[in-house]
Parts: sequence; C-alpha cells; structure tokens
Amino acid sequence: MSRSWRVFLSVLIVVTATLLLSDISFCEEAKEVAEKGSSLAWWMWPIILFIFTFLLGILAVVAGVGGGVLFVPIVSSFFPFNLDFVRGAGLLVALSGALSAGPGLLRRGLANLRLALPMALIASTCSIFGAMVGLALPTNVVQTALGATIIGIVIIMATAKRSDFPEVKKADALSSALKISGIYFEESQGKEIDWKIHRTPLGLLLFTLIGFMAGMFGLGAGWANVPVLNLLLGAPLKISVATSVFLLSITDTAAAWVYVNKGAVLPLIAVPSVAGMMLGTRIGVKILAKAKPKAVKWIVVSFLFLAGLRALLKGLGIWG
Amino acid sequence: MSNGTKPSEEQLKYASVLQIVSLSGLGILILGFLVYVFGLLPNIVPVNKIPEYWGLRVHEFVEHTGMPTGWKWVPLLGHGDMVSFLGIVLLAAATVVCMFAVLPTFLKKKDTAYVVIVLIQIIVLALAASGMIAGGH
Repeated sequence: MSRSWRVFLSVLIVVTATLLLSDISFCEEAKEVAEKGSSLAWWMWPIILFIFTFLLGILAVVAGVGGGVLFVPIVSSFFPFNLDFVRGAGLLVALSGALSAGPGLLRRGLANLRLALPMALIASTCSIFGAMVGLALPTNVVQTALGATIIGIVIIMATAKRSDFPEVKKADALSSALKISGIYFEESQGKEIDWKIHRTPLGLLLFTLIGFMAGMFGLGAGWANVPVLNLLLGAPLKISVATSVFLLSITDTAAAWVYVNKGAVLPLIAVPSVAGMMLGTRIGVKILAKAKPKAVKWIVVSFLFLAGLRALLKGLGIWG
Repeated sequence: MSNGTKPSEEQLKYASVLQIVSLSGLGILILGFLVYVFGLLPNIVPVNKIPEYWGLRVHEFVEHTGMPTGWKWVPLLGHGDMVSFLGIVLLAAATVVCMFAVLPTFLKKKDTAYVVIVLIQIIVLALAASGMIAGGH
C-alpha cells in the first residue's frame, strides 16, 4: 500500500475511533434540539451525515464489511435521530447499493436469478414481519436486540470460514426440481466452474430468520446471506457474494415499503446517507484496487463490536 | 462468454430493467432532494423544523408534523418534501417492476415453479407497498 493511502486510512480510522470511543456523539445536540432548538443550522445536518456516511462507505469496502450493517449501529450511536428513522434510512442505504450493483452482477453471471428468487421470496416475506415487529416494539427493546445482534454478527464475521469452491456431491431434490445450478468463468483459474447446491430446505428455513432480522433492524444481510449460500448450500464463494448482494435488493425492498408507509423514511436523513455511502463505496473500491489492508477489516469489525456493545448497553439503560 | 456461462434470457432481462429503474430512481432521488432542500416548492413541514422532531418515534413524528403516511403523499406532489419522497418510492418499486418484466419469459418457457414464485413475490411486494400490511402504532 502506498504511503499516502496508509496515512489516509490511518487518519480515517483514528477519527472514527475517537468519535466512537469518546462520547462526542451528536446526542448532546439532540437534547439541545429538543429543549431549546439546535445551535446547528438545519442544513449542517445533511452535510455532516453525507461526510460521515462517505467515510463509512470507504471503510466498509476496504474492510469488506457491508455498508448496511455498519450504518444502523454507528449512525444510531452518533446522531440524534430516533432509531426508527435510522433503520428506515439503513434499509434505503442497503437497498440502493444492491440495486446499483445488481445489473452488473446479473449480466456477468455471478449473481444467479434462479438461486436468488426462492430465497428472496422467503426472506422478503419475513422481512415485512420483521419491520412490523421492529416498529411496534419499544425503542429500548429494539436497541437491546440490535446490540445483541451486532455482537452476534461480529462473532460470525470473526469465526465463519469461507470456501471458494465447496464440494457438493449431489444436488438435493428441491434444487434439482428448481434447476438451481450454473456455470461461471473463474478468472483466477482460467476455466469454467460448474456448480450446484444442496441442503436447500434448510437454507430456505434460515432465510426466514435472515429476512426477519433484516426487516427488524434495517440491516443489510450480507453477513448472513453469504455463509448460508456458501457454506450451507455449497455455492461457490463468488456466486454466493454476488447473489447475496442481489438478494438484498429484494429482501430490503419488502421491508422498506413498511417503513415508507409508516413515514419512517425521512429524505433529510436517507438521501444524504445514500449519496454519501454510494460515493464512499466507489472511492473505497479504488483504494481496494491498490491495496488489501487486512488489518483494516479487524479494526472496523472492532468498531462494529463497540457500536453493538454501546447499542446493547444503551438499550439496557446502562450507557447513554 | 461461452454459451454455458451466458446468463439466462430472464436474468439478462431482469438486469436491463433493473438498471433503467434503479438509475431513474437514484436520479429522481437526488433531484427531488435538491428541490426539497433549496425550497423550490413549498414544503408541508418546513425543512428547518425537521430536526426538532426527528428524535421522536415515527408515530409521534407523524402526530406532531401531520406528515402523510401510506399513499396520502400522492395528491400532495406539488410540495417539495413529497417530491423528494418520489425517488424513494421509485427505488422501493424497482424490484416489483423487474418481477413483472421477467414473468412473461418464465411463462413462455413454461417454467411453472418460477412463474408461481414470481407471482407470489409480486403479491407479497404489492401487499407491502399497499400499506395494508403495517406494524407499529
């Protein structure tokens, strides 16, 4: 990695860590807003949010962590918005990213429509129920559950293995009936790879839980989609990652409608977040092309753990 | 790309429609937001008042601001805040448009399982979009 990128990433990490570890959150501003009006002009908020999510987008790509999963815990820690609006914006952030990436991944044959559609049907249906439950429960309960979920996600990220080409001896009956299989060109090996999947019924069962959690917390669900598609169903890693991104575009759509209809998607929060994240991820991809700093992933995962811990303690009334 | 690795007809169609709808949605999202924040049209809730209420739960926010829920924003499209909402709705509608686009291909191929899956998916998304399924307060 070049020196300038190293310096840039170090500064980025230090700034984020400082914000997270100290209590310089904008929550104090929120109290002030509620009591005597904000000292910040209203137009400062979308600018701050845009810059913040732009940096978050860079870190998300460089660390290989989904932007959606970083957005909700971190923005709800730093900003004065109610968790309802953060989750609404979080779904839109994850949805916009998935919608933008989807066409390219489908055209290149990396995301697979036949694999995605049955899983998406289950996940999207359950995400609607997740969104309904999330909007009905008291904020502290959702916050506590969000904190516990984020800590669980960190454990999955830290421990889950990945397999480039999982061995699937025989496709199961359901995937055979649905003709879920494919061939893609693996550039690293210079050859075409045939793939098929197994354990489809169990995979579908797990997607009920994934969909529910995505809707309830407004999180992207790549952290769960990829292990299920790759390790359980046996799809090659590239197919799993690409299909997971495409799947999000369907899962999050269903939940997003619930938030939109309830009025929980505020343009003043959602639009700068979408714009910041999308621009940040584009810059992040350029940085990633030059370097693959493994350490950054663990630093960002550590931030995520702290954000989850903070959400958990906040929900329990212990911190903040 | 060899014939074996070439994506299916329905997959390519889905990709094309998704690209058009999502790019339009993102464009309208940004344009609508600029109309909103620069006050080019009158707003139902003044944009400078939003920070006073965004710390509230969504049902309290709606009570205090009178912001429309469900599809009640449609007749109010002459307002900046509703125009900014249009892009969000287009993005949320992209998937169901794509589902409608690939349905004829599955029908032509007599792929019954996927016709059923796509039809149920359309119904699920339509129910969610209709506001008939809604949680919260």
